[in-house]
Amino acid sequence: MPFAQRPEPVAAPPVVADVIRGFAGTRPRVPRPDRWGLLVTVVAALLLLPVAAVVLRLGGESTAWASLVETLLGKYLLNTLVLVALVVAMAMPLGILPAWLVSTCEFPGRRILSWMLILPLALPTYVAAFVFYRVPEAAIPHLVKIRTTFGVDAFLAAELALRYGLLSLMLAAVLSPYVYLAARSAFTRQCRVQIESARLLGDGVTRAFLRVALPAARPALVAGGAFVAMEVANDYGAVHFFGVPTLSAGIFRTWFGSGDLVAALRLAALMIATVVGLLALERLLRGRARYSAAGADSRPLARRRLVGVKALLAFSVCLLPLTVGFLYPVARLGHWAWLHLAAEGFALPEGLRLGQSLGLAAGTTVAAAFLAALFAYAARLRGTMPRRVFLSIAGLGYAIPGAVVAVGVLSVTGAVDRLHLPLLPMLGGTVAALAFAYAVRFFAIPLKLSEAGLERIGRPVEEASRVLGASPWRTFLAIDLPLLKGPLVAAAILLFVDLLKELPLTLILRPAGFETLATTAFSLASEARLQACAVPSLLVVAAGVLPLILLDRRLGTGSHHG
Amino acid sequence: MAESIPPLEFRKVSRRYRSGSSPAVADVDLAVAPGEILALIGGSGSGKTTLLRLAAGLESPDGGEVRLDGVLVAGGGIARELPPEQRQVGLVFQEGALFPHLTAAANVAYGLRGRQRAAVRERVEECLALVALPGYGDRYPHELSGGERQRIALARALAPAPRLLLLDEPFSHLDPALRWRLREEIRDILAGLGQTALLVTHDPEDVFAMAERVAILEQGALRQVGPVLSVYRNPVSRYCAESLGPANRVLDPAGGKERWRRPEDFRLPADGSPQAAGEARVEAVRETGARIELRLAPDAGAGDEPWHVHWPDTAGRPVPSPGDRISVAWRA
Repeated sequence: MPFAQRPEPVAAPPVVADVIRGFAGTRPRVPRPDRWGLLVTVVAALLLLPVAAVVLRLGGESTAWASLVETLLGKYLLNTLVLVALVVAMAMPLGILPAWLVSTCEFPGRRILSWMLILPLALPTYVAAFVFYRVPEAAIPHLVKIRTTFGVDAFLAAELALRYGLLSLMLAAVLSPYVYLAARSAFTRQCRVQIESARLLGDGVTRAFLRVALPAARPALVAGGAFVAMEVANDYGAVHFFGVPTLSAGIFRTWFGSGDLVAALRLAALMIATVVGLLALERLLRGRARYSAAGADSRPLARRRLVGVKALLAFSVCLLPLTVGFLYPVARLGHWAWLHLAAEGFALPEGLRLGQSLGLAAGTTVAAAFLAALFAYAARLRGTMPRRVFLSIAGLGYAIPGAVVAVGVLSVTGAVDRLHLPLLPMLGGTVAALAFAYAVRFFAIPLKLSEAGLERIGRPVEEASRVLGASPWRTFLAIDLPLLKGPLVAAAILLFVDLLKELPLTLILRPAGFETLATTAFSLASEARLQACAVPSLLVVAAGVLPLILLDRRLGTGSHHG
Repeated sequence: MAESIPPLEFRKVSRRYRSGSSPAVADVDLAVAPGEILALIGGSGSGKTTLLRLAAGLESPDGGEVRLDGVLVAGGGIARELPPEQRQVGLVFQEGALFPHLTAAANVAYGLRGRQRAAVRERVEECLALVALPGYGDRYPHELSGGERQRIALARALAPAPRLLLLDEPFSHLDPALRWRLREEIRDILAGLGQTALLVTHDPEDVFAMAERVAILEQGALRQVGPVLSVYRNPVSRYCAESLGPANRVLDPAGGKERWRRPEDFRLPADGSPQAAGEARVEAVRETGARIELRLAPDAGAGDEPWHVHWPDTAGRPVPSPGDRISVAWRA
């Protein structure tokens, strides 16, 4: 309608009047079902089900629990706590020091190191364990010497220290990128103003690091440390190969050994309590102190040039986690893979089903990323309080180890199958159940990124769309989804890599005959076919490396951009 | 003449964000007449944006009624409110809120669903021409300046020919020179269309440049409504007075009743004039380029706080110095 022909302002334009009058004419109005609220509730309920199953079935009857408490439980708990403490204690310096050096100093190799230091993320802990678990064998002559000199007790203690020490160092190096990324981001961006102020007030570099940068970066470091702790608690492959029985290993033994789901669920609950307890302890210790990054801006810190021995030292410090956590294992795997392929005429190892693994990971990634974006959007329509509740529920799975989610899903699918619902095929032992478990476990990744992306888009843009006549659904498809492309691609990359690497949950839930790269590698390694296992292991690593580099550039957190 | 139906009407509207907290909007009765531009002014947290969002359907009232063209669309006990996408109101946000992944033309076309492609194209071009940005259709929001973005936002809001246009502090993010120019342009566009509009602002300049009537909100309550100049000249309280610019508290020598006088209302009475409001001591004199400003300390009985006034150009007398005593009168 041209402006010149606009009707007199007193009369409503026909379309407007029709809409409003039509609306008025529908009285008495029946409230429409809140489809968005329904969507949020159903998805949140589905994601909560396995966790609820763990909690609800804790009081069930268990045959193995009593003997478990008497014999192994203390050991499982102690091993878990000791391992978590050791790994976190080692991962912190392995992540923080390189982060500080690449953020605040200039030395040869800094640029390449600053992004290569995230590469250990591509190496699953169980793959690293394939490489390292036989290293203590090299120390056998020394251990024998200890036994002949100091006796059996000393031998056992030395063997234990060697095994735990090596496992902890390996896990710390492989998981150090969680701390490194958090610390690097905090040092380069959030704490810049505080560090510069400390320097101007007379602190040297080391003093500024200890007095200002570390305390200011504490929330980020704690978050990184919490990720490490959760990954250690979740680990099954590495502890299996190193013979360290943790709670996670206990769940497997109890489930596969005695088939006692209730006992496995109780172990799972203990594992959750351990992780939650550690996080609560940190919060308690933090007390009332606040570590907000007031005055943060996006300019990077001015870096100090290091030369000579100092430069060499800095380079070496950065190289340590990279070597232990990536370069050495990958080189070793590469060598083994080459030997295997050369011997087998470059045929892939028997049982390796690349299509299955990639297909399942890709399918679950796409579905979960879309659903997470939709869920975050729908939750936003529901106001502040319910939104927080729904988002917390949907993100819960990430804090819960894979083995726990797996037994929860087993419990749920078992219960559903027993109902024999018409039109619903059996769920237990299907790819659908596995994909569902993946979604429960990893939904937090696309959800958090979608949520952050929606925050950045801002409400006014969505409201503008609504006021211009678009329904919430059209607004999601036409405005939010295209604008979420960046965060969703990042989420998809992270999710895809995590799914390819996932082991404990897949081991428990995979259908008979179904193999992923991770389970194939694990099976081959369990049969001590290390050369053959190197091929799928390297494929998992390769699938993880490229997306990580892309992600680092996309997130723009790399100091090499500065 | 039959009374026309207001395009927008609030009847005893209240909105509270958290139960137990003070209401963001309380018992507001307000109507926007057809073709009128009404400005809502008030400080931070006065509830002006809440009121605008209630009109758009982006918030729901806790009490009272919101009516569009006389039809109840929210509140009043109806089971389902008319959602924003069915209200056919236009909304221009503070920073434009253009869709960053769409071109200017696609932004303008967004609200024109269900029309023939050629008609959409024609309408988009018409709207771009209206906001003096023909040929800008292929540009993305990040390729536009702040003022251009706001004009595209206006074109987008006007494209579906809304019954009511809502403007949420549309100039607050622009630099002063651009703000001045853009508000003139937008006023001319709206006036040319006879567009009914509700403008939310905290800047009195926006009110004077654009609106015919002003409504002053304080802590969610409506304090004064009326033609802009009338409210400016006769504010009912300090808050209302200062919402539209600097004001001096002047006490009536007889009853001590307070009145509000603008700096430009200051006059120099002839000696012995009965209009003299009293004597004052000059505390400071400041030349701002455009005018000379005085800070006066009124004698007891005339006022109990300093007066800030403009020295009249036509006074024909030398500008007093700090410490001088002068007689003061106010424009009737």
